[in-house]
Formats: sequence, structure tokens, C-alpha cells
Amino acid sequence: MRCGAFLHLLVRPAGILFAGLFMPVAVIMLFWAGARGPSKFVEVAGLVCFFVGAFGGTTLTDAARCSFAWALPRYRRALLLEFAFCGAVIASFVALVGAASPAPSAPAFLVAAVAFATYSLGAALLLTPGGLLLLPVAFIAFVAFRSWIPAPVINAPVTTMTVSAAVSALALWPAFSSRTFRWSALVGPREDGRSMWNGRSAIPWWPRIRRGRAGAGPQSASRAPYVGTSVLRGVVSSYRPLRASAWFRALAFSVLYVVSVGPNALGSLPPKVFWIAWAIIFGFSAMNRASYGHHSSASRAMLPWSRRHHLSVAFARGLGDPLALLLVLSPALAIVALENPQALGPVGRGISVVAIFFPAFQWAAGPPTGGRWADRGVAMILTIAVVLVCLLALRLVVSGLPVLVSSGAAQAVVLGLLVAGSQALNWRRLKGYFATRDLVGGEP
Amino acid sequence: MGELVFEASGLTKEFGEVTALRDVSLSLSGPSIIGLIGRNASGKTTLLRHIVGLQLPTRGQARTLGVATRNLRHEQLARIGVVPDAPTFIRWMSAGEQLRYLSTFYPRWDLERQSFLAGLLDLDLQADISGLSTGSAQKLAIVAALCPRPDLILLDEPVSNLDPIARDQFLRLLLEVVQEDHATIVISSHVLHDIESTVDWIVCLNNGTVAADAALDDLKDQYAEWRVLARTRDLPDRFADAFVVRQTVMEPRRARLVVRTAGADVRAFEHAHDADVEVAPLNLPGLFPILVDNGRH
Amino acid sequence: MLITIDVHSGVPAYRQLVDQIRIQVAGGRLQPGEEIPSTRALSAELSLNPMTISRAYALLEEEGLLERRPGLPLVVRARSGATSATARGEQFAKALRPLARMARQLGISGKEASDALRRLIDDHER
Repeated sequence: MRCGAFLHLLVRPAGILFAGLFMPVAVIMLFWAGARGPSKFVEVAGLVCFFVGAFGGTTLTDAARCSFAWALPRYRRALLLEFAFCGAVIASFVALVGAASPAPSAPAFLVAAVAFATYSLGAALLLTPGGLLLLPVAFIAFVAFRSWIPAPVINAPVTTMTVSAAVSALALWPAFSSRTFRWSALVGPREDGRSMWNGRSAIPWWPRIRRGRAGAGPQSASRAPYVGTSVLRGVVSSYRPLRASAWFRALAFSVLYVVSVGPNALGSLPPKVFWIAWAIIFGFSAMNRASYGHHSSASRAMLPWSRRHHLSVAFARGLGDPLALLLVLSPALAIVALENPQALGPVGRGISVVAIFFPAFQWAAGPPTGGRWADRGVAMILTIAVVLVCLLALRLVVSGLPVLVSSGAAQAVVLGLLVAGSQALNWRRLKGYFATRDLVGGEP
Repeated sequence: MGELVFEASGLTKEFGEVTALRDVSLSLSGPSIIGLIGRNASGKTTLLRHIVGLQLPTRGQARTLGVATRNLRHEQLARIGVVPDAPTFIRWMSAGEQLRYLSTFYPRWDLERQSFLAGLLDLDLQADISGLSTGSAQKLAIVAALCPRPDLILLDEPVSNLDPIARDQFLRLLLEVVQEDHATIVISSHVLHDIESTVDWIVCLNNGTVAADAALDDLKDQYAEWRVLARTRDLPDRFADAFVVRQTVMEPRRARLVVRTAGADVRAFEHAHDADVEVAPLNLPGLFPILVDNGRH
Repeated sequence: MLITIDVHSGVPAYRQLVDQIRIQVAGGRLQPGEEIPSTRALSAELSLNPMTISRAYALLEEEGLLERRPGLPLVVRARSGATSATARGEQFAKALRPLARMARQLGISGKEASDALRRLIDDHER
């Protein structure tokens, strides 16, 4: 294997997009965090390196899916070394940024160790088959860490560095094991560009539950409930391929998240409500989109639906995300309205911004018809970009809108119009796709 | 004769720089069993996908069951059954559950036919789809396509993964179906031997264009193989006659020619070249290279 | 009706069917008034495309060999002795053509050929 194979993998459209988009933002965030204090800096540095590691893991997974050669020990070791080298470079860079910031900062070695640990963790979660399922757990751990333990990392540098080293080793060892690469090669190249929820095929250890009931036999009559053009029935039928366990997982994740946020939940409201909403919607809508994406390529080929019907169902499912957001948050909104009416404005604005941005996430995930974004990494990067823009918009709208429009009712009208406008744009986008594009394949 | 199920005029499909279909104009009517043959990457799968509206033409028109393919509605799509070359199913379901799920979308689903087909093709309905072999997945796709009693059935390489016995049963099944349901079946395959025993109409694609669109019997009549034995003098190096399509085995005293029967007079030829000609018919595997060659010229 | 069709032979299947039915009728194995198997039954028996069979039957019906009765299967039409004799002669002549060519190639004279043929037919009779 040539030297620099990993770097070669990175120099692709996805990699360049990542470097161009993410890196400047990351540097800005690091400077901003550095000004806020050492513990904040370590936190943001860890987050940034996590994403970089995740991107590297995605790249490697895509490569591993294309060839068994990566399973050879020789290649794996070389790859691991190169990957670790890149990680060391990035960690050092982050530490340098920290040292360069004017405010007093954490020791450089500490920052580098933590950065490297989160980098390895990010790669491990994306590289190991089934590792993606642990992503929500990692997210919860991160949030719990922030809420319950304020600033331990700075006060106990030796412990932190030891733990970081251990985490790095524990993460990288299974990530670069031959099992990972063998399994990825077995699964084969991915036809779609989705980066979430690999699905059962990539989870070798997921227990198979033996179903007791029989398959279709002469005694089960088909009453054809989904025949026809009813959009509602179409949407309901499109949830049928979703396993019950997926719903359960999403619910469990949301509950765990809320619990881990814990006593600080209702403390300082607007950012916390945003994080709660984000978590819940992250759980449900990612699952929603992933299930539709995974199922829809099969459904487009096998169901006797007209294009118009596919369009209506896709739009209705997409509309479900903001509606679910409002539904799930309405009790919280009611509590806020009762306890702290002043906070209702900012919270309402925040939720509206998230609702406005949902179609953008659906766009970033890829076209709903055949032929995904060429690279799985591209979908991931675009999603990150949309997240960043959304956060920016959130800041602007929550603080800035009252300056432009003073009355609450007028604000509600403006935001309502924006939500409707984003859905209208989404409808036009989907309509364009379903009217003119191929529903399957792109190859002759 | 019968109903016009598909009509294409000037159909062109481009994927970037690659042109999969080039100005294809044909019409398929039934009931009939139509064999779609051609080399790899000649556009067979693309054409089948156009028939069912999964892909839209870059230029030209395509109409299925009387409706433009981009406007196909449930009324038409419920009458079409498709067995794709790589069937996709919902992986965590069992075969029986998958069939039950699919049956909910069709107004008429023949459960008797389902159990009959599952028995005939030896398909275990309790098996998980993720554990099915490619052959079994194909069998499941066949069952799923045939149970709604469609009027138009499209099969893309359906027999490539079946064992010889299953293949034989399946081909007999197609003959049954075409008579019972008066369906039109379009079957695309490389296995010319199997196609020959079942189809009555051939559409041959070559590099995205239609190289042949005729009844199989008529095609067999259009060409013949001549085995030429010189009597007294040597044969010429090249036969300039217009009806000679291909020459193989060129020896001074022997030749094997493929000729177009229209306008080919055996007696005159024998007289002109002082040779004996034995006329033999060509079967589909023998015709295939001629058809795709013709397409190229 | 005993029919063998070789779909892979290159001779169109419908023509093979037509020829074989003609031979059987000419040879008396299919009697006038005898019913022909339906398209469906024959298709199942021979694994042959039903369109092929319909085409063959249509051709034979046009020729006058078969007769269609409303609501009932096709039957062999009754023919005069003269027409069946002509039919038999035609069938035999067709089979003789390749034989004649082989005789020419091998340099066998007409008389030698007919003697050989007579011996074969007579031997079989005994």
C-alpha cells in the first residue's frame, strides 16, 4: 500500500468540501471558546475533533466496503498509523489554537490528549459496524457530562490524560480490527448516501428475534387497505416497514436525554429547550428519514404508486417532522407559558426556527428519488453545514427579531409565514424531483 | 391483434454522456410472450424501467397501457407486475409477511395462486428475507409479481439464478399465465435457449437501438444458413451477392454462408457458382449474432 | 395425436406443427371428424407457446385441413380421396428432396436410388 493512502482517500470532493466548510468554522468556534475559558475550550475542541474523526471514519468505511484488501493486517496497520498520525496533527493544531488565544487556557498537552481521544471515538463510532447505534448514547454521555460535572478536566490533568489515552486505545483497537474491515467488505458498497442508521445488515451482533407467528397463508385474507390514492393511507403504509424496535429506540433515547439533562433542565430555559427539542427531533426525524430512505428505494420499485402519490407521501412525511416537534413540545410550551411568560417569546421563536429549517435537513440528506448525492460524506457535510446555519439563524432570530418586529402577534405571523414558506419550497423541490427524475438507478 | 400495451416513439435516454437508448420506436401488444434480447448494456433493463415509469425518457415518448409513463396512475400500475434483475425487499420481514404487505396495495391478489406458486417454486414463506439466497429472492419476486394477476408482466433476467428444474417449471408457468390471464409477458434474458422455447415475439436491442422487432417464427424464416460444396471449380473468395449477410468457413471448395432468404435463389446460385447448396434453418442462438451485427451496420 | 416439436431446430415451431399434422392427416392417423386437442391442452403437453399453436391451427384452417365448429374444438375436415392422395404425394416429395441431393453428391444414379428405396420399403413390409 502506498504511503499516504488515507490522505489520498481524503482528497475527494467530500473531503475538500469538509475542509473548506468545516475547518474555518471550527477554528472560529475554537477561538470563540478559548475566549470563554479553558473548560469551554476543551469541550468545543473535543466536539470539533469528534466530528473530524467521524468524517475520517466515514471515509474509511466507504473504502472498506469496496475491497477485502483492507482487511489484511499489513494494510490495516499502515492505515491505523496514518490515521493516528493525522489525529496527532489535528490535536496539536487544536492545542496550538488554544495556546494562541489571549485568555488563560488549559495546558496544551491536556487539550491535545482530549482532542485525540474524541477524534478516535468519532472514528470508532462511524467505522465499527453497528457503531452508529451508539451515537445517541455518546450524545447523551456528552450532555450528561456537561450538566453534571462542570470542570473536572482542567483540575485533574493527569487523570484526564490517562483516561483520554485509554479511551483512544479502546476506540482505535476495535475500529481498526480485521473484523471491521471484513464486515464492511462483506456488506458491500452502499447504493444510497445515507449516513445514519445503518440498518440491521451492518450489525452482526444484533439479536435476531424469532417471530412466532406464521407468514401469509390461505387463511389470512388480503383486504387491500392501502389501495387507492389516499395520502394518509400511503403515509401509514410507509411506516409499516419500520420495526417496532426503532420507535422504541427513539423514545428511549429521548427519555434518557431528558433525564440526563436533569436538574438543569428548566434552569436557564431557551438554550435548554432548544437542546431538548433538538434531541427529540434528532431521534425521531432521523429515524423517520432513514426509514423512509431505506424503504423508499425498495418501495419506489415495488409499490404500484403513481409519482404523484409518492410525492404526496414524501411531503406528508416531511411535514410530520415540524408537526411532531410542535406536538412534542406543546406541554413544555404550556409549562413555560404558565411559569415564565417572559421566556415564551424566545422559546417560541427558537422552535419556529427549528421548524423552518427542517426542509433544509431533508434537502441535505439527499434527493428522495433514485441517485443519491455521489458521496456519503457529502450528505454528512451538508447536514453539518445546515446545522451550523440553523444555529446561526437561531441566534439571530431569537435575539434579533424583537428588534425588527416588536409585537408578539406580529412575530408569530412572520414566523408562521416563514414556516409555511419553507414547506412550500419543500413541496416545490419534491414536485420537481418526482416529476422529472428517474425513480431508480442512474446506471443503464 | 390484441391490446397495445406499450408504445415508444423516438425514445432516447441519456445518463450523462452514456446513451442507453437511442431513438427507440416500437409497440408491444398482447396477449403474447415477448423476448427482449441483446448484449450486455444494450439497454434492455433501461427499456423495461421505462415501460413501468421508473425512468423517464430524455427525449421522445413512451406510453404504457395507453397512458404516458410519467403519468402512470394506480389503475395502470396495479395491472403491471415487475420482476427486476435485483429484487429489493424489506429485509427484516419474512417472505410471507412481505407478500402480505404487498398484497395490501393491490385490489385483486390471488391467494390461491400465491400458495400454488410458493409450492411450485419450492419457496419457504417463513424464511427471513435477509437469509434468502439470490435464487430464492428471485422466486419471491416472481411470486410477488404474478399474484396480483397483472395484464402486463415484465421480467428482467428472471431465470438466471434458478436451477434447471425451477427454470423449466417457471417457463411452463409463463405459458399457463399467458393463457389464463391473457397477459402480455416481456422477458429479458441471455439464456436464448429458454427464450426460444417460450416466446412468440422477439425484440432485439443493440447499443440502444432496435435491431429486430418481429415474430420469432418470421425471424427464423428471414435468414438461413447455406452450406456450399463446390462441384468442379473453386469457389470465389468473396460472394458478392446482395443477400449474403455473413461468410464463415471460406475454403476453396467449401463455404458456409448466412443469407437473407428474401431474394435468395438457391438454384441460380448453384448454377452460377457450380456448387451444391444445403439449406439449413437458423435457430435463435444462431440468429443472435446476425441480428446484433446488423444493428451495428 | 403424437407430435414432436423441436423448438431449437431453427425451423419455425408453427411450421413443424403444420407439417406434422398434414402428414398425420395424409397418412390416415388423423381421421376426418377427429377432434384436435385445444390450444391450451397442446400448449401444456408440448410446452409450446399458445400463439404458435393458434397460428398453426389458423393456417391449417385456411388450407382447409381443419374445420372450426362454433363452441367446439377443431376437427379434421373430411376430404375426398383424390385430395388426400395428392397430399400424401406432396409430403413424400418434400422428404425426397434432400435425399435426391445426397444421391447426386454421392454419385448414385436414379435407378440405384429407387432400387435401394424399394428394398427398404419392401423389407419393412415383411
